Amino acid sequence: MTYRQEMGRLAREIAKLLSEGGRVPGEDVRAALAGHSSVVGLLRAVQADMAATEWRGVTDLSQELARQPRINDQPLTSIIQRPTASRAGELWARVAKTATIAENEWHQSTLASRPYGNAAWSEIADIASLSEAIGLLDGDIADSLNAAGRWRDAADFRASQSGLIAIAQEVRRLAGTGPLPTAKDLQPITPETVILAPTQHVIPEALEHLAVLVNSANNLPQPK
Amino acid sequence: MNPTSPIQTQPEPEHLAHAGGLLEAVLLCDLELDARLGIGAALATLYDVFPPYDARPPVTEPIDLGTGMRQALDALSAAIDTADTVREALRAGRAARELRDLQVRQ
Repeated sequence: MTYRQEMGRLAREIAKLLSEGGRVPGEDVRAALAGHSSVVGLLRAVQADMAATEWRGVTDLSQELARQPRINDQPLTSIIQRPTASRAGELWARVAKTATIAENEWHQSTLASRPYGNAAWSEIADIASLSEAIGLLDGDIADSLNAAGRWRDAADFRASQSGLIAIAQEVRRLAGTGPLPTAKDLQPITPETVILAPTQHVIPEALEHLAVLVNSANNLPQPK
Repeated sequence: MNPTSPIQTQPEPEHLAHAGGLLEAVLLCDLELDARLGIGAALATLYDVFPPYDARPPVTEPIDLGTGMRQALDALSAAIDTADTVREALRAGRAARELRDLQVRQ
């Protein structure tokens, strides 16, 4: 699967959560938190590269995404592999996996193949649409956390919800006022290229992602 | 693009057109204010796209609220499964969420 295919799949799964509801029973709260955290991680990564666009709303969206709570209280691999107790839990677990793979595809792409010019606006519109959806689903997660007795975590989700929705809507509408050509797919960098960790703080998350990618890979190259 | 339109338009995806037609048919009924606003909000979400969709023949046969919402939700579910773009899938999802919220309030 390519970045665009993964993003399409992610959007359909999040749309189903919007449509069917993202509230989960206590057993699936961790799946919902993992799904939310993975999507926010993906959106932050792509948005950070797009924020070079010098329009204030776009950088405001980056700030709102940075304010989103990210709670990872269980390894991602165990959440993805564990059976879920509800349809929403199953969708959230799928969201976690798809967002992790999409983020990896983004990081593994050459800078030259990433969207530029009007195509960058298409990417920004997609990121804003996904951010708005995540903002709407924050309310479902807060309800789930409240029901599980995690009031403080629920309050964090509630506190960051309205700002994200408002800015995301504004950016989505601004992006939509111009042409939004279909962005081309990304070109992967050569497998031998080492991706440098910008800080040591990203290493635990990178190891989590690596485990998910290894578990979901169809074909693993043989070591030389 | 619709050649008869003075502004640029785009074709409406089949399932979205079906859902939109159903909701427009519901609006022909005598509805309470909350239901009318809820259906209107879902329609506004569906049509929040640029360029706008091609015009289609106006709906003339009313459909009752319960049936119309149920069928529109089915159409939106199909629209999500067949969406060509990230934005189209999420727009259908947001419209469906507005209808579900209305269903809960009814």
